Amino acid sequence: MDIGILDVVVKIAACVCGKDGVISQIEEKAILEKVTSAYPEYTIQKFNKAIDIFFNETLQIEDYLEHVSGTDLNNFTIDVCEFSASADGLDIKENIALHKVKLILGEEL
Amino acid sequence: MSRFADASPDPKSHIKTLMRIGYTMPSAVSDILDNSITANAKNIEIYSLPGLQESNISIVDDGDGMSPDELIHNMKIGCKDPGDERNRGDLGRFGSGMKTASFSQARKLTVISKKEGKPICAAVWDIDRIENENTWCLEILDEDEIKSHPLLLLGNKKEYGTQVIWEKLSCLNKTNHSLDDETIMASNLSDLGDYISLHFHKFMDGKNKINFTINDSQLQGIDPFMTRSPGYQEGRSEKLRCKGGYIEINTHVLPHFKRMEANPLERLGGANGIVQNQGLYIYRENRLINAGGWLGLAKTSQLGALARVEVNVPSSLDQEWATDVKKSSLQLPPRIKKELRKFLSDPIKRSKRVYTYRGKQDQANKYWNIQENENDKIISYQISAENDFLIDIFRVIPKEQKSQLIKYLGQLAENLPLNHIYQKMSESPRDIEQENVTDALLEAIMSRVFEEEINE
Repeated sequence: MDIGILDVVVKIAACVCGKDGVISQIEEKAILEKVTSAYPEYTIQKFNKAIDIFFNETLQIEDYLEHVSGTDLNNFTIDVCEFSASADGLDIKENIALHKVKLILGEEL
Repeated sequence: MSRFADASPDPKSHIKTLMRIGYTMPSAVSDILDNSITANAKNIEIYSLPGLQESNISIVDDGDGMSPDELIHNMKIGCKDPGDERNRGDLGRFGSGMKTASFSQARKLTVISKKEGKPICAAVWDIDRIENENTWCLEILDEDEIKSHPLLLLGNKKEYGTQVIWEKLSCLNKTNHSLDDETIMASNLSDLGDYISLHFHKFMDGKNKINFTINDSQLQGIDPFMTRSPGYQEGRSEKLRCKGGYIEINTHVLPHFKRMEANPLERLGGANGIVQNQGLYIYRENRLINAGGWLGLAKTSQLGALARVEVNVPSSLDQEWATDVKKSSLQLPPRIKKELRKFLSDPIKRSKRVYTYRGKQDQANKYWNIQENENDKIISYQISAENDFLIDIFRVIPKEQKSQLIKYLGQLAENLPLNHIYQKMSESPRDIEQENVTDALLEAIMSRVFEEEINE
């Protein structure tokens, strides 16, 4: 897999977790953990850079989701989002962004 | 077809609005200090010397200073776009602070500055002149005028830096029955010292510390969390990633009042101040913006008096946090409120625990407990409620007699002849013999009961 696409996955997870412009440490750790456990070549430096860029961009979640295609990547993206969004105990059922990810990437609700 | 008319504000009226933006004297001086810190000053001196015919305030720093062009640009009101991104450590925001803060306290603002490799320069805003001429006319002083300025400190004491001078002070607020200028100013300076010591305390410590002085007297930082006091408790902390860095949340529980040393307690406003100032301490780039209060997230209570939540916010979040021109208030974004709520219960709970702490309990033997309360510095000897024999008695006796027995045991503990024990234990401890006291007690009770039965 192109490692660059993982930046997009990280940004989608950041959109899901980063409501109102902040991501908790637990959520941040969860995103990194999930991505690096599947792709150990994805370094923390790459992750930090992707998050910094994310905060400076004005793109919407749909813009990032456009770049994700293929069943494996779709499932992986949903997995990362779900894992990180529930990491700090927030009610993921209320998470509209997560619903959107699932809907667009094709998981049945 | 529509047309446009010039509706720019009338300088005479506009300046009056700017004068009433709501600064207090300490918050206005703090806005000037923000600029000095941003300009990398290591020494910031505030002077308001007594004995002058007209009181004035001078704030002089050894920061980077300004060139003549930079000075004129910075003397404009709103010289910076609040939407622009600021560097880390830049305490400015609206490009209006120095002017509006100064106009709120004085009718004449002079700024003298010297930057390395540039000539000394000075500019003056005089409200009387603005009102008389109804124009934004900034006076630029030439070198001779600067050097002969009676309040000039910059050239003499510091090679580079900036001096802000407030004259024609309106902050003295004189009425018919008010005290003289010097008395009012002395009181204002005392309040100012406390305010700076608290709001800039993070700059007064560590490797890059800045020296703050008022009339050559050095200010000492006030740590609102008493982190170096015995009994201080550090709680949970969390970092939230955001645009431009991290929001850091740390929780603290102060030691109990009785364990606080007199000086720090007094500097934090005494016991009343400790109760009133419980809550959130929000720092923007290390400068305290909000000192206490729960901002609607929790209720102020006596038991929560020792709870403090420190929130460090980077200036990149000013827009989201709705920082005002004075940088003395802000609004919490909804997500931050949600995150903060998770942190409030822990320090409040621990504050309650410290408050209601009854002290540690040691079992002297099966019958007696020793209770030591470090907060109240009290030691007491209590009858053990865990004694199996006593529990058995309570199981078999009727309810009325249970309360009688509790009362008796309470009296027994209260009336322990401690002084006598202490005296005899120190004088002749070997003479004390407790082993056969139970037989003597039994004998005494039996004979008393027997006597009563005969009388009946």
